[in-house]
Amino acid sequence: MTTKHDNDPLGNTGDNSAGDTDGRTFEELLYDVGQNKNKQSFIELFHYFGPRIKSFLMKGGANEALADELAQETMLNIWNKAESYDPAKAAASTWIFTIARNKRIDALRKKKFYSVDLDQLPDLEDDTYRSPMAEMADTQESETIAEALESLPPEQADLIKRSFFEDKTHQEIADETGLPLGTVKSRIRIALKRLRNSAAIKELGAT
Amino acid sequence: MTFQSKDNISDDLYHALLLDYAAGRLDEAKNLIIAAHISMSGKARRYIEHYESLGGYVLEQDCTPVSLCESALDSILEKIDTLESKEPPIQKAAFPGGLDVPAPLQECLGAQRGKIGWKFMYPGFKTFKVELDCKTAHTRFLKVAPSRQTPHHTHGGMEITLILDGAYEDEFGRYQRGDLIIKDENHTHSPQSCPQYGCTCMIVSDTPIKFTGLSKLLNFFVRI
Repeated sequence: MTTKHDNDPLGNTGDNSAGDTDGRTFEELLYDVGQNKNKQSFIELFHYFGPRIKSFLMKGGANEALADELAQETMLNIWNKAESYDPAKAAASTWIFTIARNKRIDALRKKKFYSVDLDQLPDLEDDTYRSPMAEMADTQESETIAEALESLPPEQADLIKRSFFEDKTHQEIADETGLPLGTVKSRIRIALKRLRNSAAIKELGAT
Repeated sequence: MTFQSKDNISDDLYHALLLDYAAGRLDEAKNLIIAAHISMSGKARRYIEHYESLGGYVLEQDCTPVSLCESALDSILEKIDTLESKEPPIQKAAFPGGLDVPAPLQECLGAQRGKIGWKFMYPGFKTFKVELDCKTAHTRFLKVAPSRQTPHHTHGGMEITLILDGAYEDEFGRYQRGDLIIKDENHTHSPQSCPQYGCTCMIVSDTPIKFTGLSKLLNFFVRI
């Protein structure tokens, strides 16, 4: 994920609707926005991520007009917070996802969300800290959690993906899909177990 | 310092909570206790980063782009130029007794309208509650003197405990600062606080705890 073309978790070339980014990675663009307030880099991020953020918000239940407005606000937040982005700690897409997620909770659920700014936390004594980016660089061969997600049976992967878009309870998902509640729950449980047995998490010495 | 469990059920519950935190699905009380736990545990942070990276992956791979309105970019660039966008400072409050607690808890205490402070529960036990917008869970803090045994109790639903200071031990293990303990209705336990420091913890539960056996009278006190 350090470069969107060469190092995509699944080896996809990706469709970069931003067009030419001068071969710079999203991490480099976001870092440039944060450190240098570079508008050109921001515009490139906007072209790629703006429409995806809007889509993400629509999947979360916002109508198109609201999703458009919130996607714009998310992009503004990205501009304002980019200074705290540390490319050694997270992929740009991960960091941008957390900004979009916080905006969605704030706007659609109208509730308080206590977020932890992982970039800003002091190091812990117990911390043999290895960021996912660093781990990935070391263990190119081992399976990432995204690959583990894609290797799940589609009906399990779908439930995990939905949990990132939607705020539905297991009961609501059961009602919507016509599956028994027990099936929804057990699929999620099995999928989670599979994800935490992915190499990336196992290396942390999973419980 | 990490999550401890002796059974797979709690592992499942723990990782389900972390994934739901990353996805932004938790109610306010569970969100708060997980945010505090992440702040205190390096390992939990690394789990969260992996789960959040799934969010980034899904954003890129599964969110089919929907174009923003034509004026969107100009409008954002204009705001960037004109707005000095500073977020309002977050109101924080210290934990009673000056205990060093993570930022999300200071933030929660800062938002409390009532007075915050320990209230006598019964000898060796002090408690106070916080009011959150979500009414589905009970959030309280508990301070236990050294070498005290909490009477046998069960839980009506899920109970999540975060150790903020000191330590405690029960039939399942020993837990210290930063550790998260998850119990459900299948668990009965009687925690014993650390002989040297006692134990201060935060507890989020779906229903108030129920004392069993001879300790039933205490059910009156936990409603305080």
